[in-house]
Amino acid sequence: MKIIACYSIKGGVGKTATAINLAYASANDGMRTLICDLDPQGASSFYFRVQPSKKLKLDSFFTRRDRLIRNIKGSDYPLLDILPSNMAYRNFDQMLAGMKKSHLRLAQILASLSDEYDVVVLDCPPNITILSENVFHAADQVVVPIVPTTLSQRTFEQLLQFYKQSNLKKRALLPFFSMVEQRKRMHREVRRLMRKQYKRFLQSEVPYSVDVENMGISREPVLVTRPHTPSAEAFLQLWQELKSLNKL
Amino acid sequence: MVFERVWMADSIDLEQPEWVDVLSPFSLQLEHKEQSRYQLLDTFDWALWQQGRALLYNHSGGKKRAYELWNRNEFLSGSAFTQQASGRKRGRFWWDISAQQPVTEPQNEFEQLLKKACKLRVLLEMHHFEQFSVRYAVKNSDLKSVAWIELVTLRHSSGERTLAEEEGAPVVRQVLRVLPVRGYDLELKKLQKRVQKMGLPLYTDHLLEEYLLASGVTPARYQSKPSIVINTEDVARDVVLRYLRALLNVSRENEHGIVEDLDIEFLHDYRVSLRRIRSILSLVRKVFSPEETRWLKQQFAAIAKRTNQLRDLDVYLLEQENYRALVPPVLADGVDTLFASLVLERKRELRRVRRWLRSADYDSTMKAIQLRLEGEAEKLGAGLQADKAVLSVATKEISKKFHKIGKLGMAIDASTPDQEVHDLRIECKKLRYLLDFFGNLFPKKMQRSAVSTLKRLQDNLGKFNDLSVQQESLQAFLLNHQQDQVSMLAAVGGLIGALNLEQKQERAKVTETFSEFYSAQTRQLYAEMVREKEDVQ
Repeated sequence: MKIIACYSIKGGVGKTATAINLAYASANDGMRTLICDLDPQGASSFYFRVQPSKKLKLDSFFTRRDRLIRNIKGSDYPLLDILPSNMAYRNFDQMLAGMKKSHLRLAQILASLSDEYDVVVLDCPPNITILSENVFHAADQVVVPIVPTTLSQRTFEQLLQFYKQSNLKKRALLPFFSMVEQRKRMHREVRRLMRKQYKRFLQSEVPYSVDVENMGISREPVLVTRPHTPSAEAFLQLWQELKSLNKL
Repeated sequence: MVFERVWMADSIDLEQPEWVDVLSPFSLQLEHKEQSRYQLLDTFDWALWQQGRALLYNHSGGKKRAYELWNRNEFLSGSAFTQQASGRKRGRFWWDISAQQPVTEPQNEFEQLLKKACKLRVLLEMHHFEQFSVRYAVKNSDLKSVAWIELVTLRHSSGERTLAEEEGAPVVRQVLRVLPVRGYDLELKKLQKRVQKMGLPLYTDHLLEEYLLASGVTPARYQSKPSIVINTEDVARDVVLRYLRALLNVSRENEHGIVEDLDIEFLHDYRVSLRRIRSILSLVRKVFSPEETRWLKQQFAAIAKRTNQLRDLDVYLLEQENYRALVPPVLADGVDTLFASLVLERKRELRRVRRWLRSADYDSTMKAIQLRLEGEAEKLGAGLQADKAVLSVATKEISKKFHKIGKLGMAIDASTPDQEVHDLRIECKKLRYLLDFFGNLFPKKMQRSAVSTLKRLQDNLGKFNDLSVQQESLQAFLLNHQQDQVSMLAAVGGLIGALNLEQKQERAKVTETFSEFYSAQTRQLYAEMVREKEDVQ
């Protein structure tokens, strides 16, 4: 089982769009896939039309596999399941702070799902918390969407800094350019510079697209609604890159 | 956990208002539609069906040509072995289906199952039908899928019309299946309750059978060994007549397959039932008048003789690989030449048999016999035993035959001439026919153990006989082909030698297999069979 996290310190960079399209592409490729919506705002759950789970208590999230499994729902697509978000996720950090080995809890509970799924995609809330530390420990890859602006460049450096301080493996960090607009000079400049500084950028670049923004209305992955648009093709290419990195 | 549930129906349209009402607040969204065309394949004697299977050939066109082997009572509810069709033409025999040779070993479970059931028999198209599958997503108010509904419809394909369709009622069977989406158990339960309200019967295991019967197809109608119901108090002549009629039907049903040369088992079954008829006529004595019996025997002897040659050739042609293995490698090419000439000979012989079966002469003989057997019993002159209870006739004949076998068998040792071994074989065969014929009169266990002890002895004697028949006909072949290729004649010589050696080995076993058969236990069994009669009377 491979765990792929979609993570960004900044919000509004296309993180959830990436998570759900990657998850869809994986399931469509024949992998038994679970997408975990860890963001209390529940954007992935919304896109898949799944109501937030009310019953799952936060303390059992990390300890009770059976409770966790009971909350998993089938999506409308074959092989793709979703663990919907929960308002209680706001208090993840408080909860984790009181636990032993708090930064490994997520890795442990996800490992218990390995006989059911081939791929787990984590849709993470923005900002750096104990939960995100858990994500970094659990994930085989952390995919980071980056809008090519100077501000994004700064936040990515913050993330690299955090990895260094926490002794995490930088190899797992895989940034890619998201919401790219070819005609903007700054986008071109920043992409060139950042690719030079950080060698592990993924090749795929997802262009800015109205279709992706419209996902909020259609409530389906662009890979389903507009499979032949440049953005859909970019998500598919992104999945292919991750698939070969994971030797899936 | 709530599981899927399956209902039966015959004309549901889920888009009709009554269903829309029943299913609300859920709504349906069409996800997938598929139409497949199938042929139901089986051997003439429904061997697959008898073993609980149904072989379907999916010929919906394009890349979809495939064979599906189902457990017939799990049709649509279970899963099938599937094998892609290799050529454009449908396979005629099990080995064609996977582009194998008849002698190769099956490659997988699918082929093993096919081989075990079909053996040498051709696969016939028993029925053809269409299957429509429609899959709907069941949506809640968020338009999230909370379950799936699948509606599968079986319908006789256009082309030939079934009897029922002629009368204006197309035969249709439907299966309505509600499948879960993970995490939506409550919705699934609710949905199942709603469907339940429509009063449909739950799925039965016999969907395919029901559908076929409704379409006018009776699976397993043909049986090469007809079994008739006998009551102990029935009079002998009635029982014999009933049995003869059934056997005659079997041979007539096989005529078509012989003429069309569909597979070699048609001729085999044809001949076996004729042989059974002749045995009964001579084994169960004095049920008809002597003149009557003589006339019937003559007719059947004449008919049976006509196909001897063709059957012999069929049996030979099966042996090609064995024969090749029997001779030294230098003679193997000669064996192939021999077989090439046998193939030609079979062609000629088949033409002869075909012409005969289609002749007016054959037809009128058969009709005359049928008229005799099917007419009133009085028309057939009665013999002395005609009105005796069948059980007493049966026990008398069986016990007589058993003692005769005992006497013959006991006399055999290593130096006894072969002819006496052949006589023993013939008596055993007669006893076997009696047991088959009257079997129903005895407790099942008794009949079964009588047959199985006898069978072991028969196998040994049968092999011994086959080997000597083969040698004789190879010798005859040598006499008729003295001008032919030396390599072939040498191969024939080599074969005779090898077969003779094998025959000696079989001969050496006879004394032992006989004493195993004629044990105290077997004698006890036959004594009990005779006692059955006294118990009843």
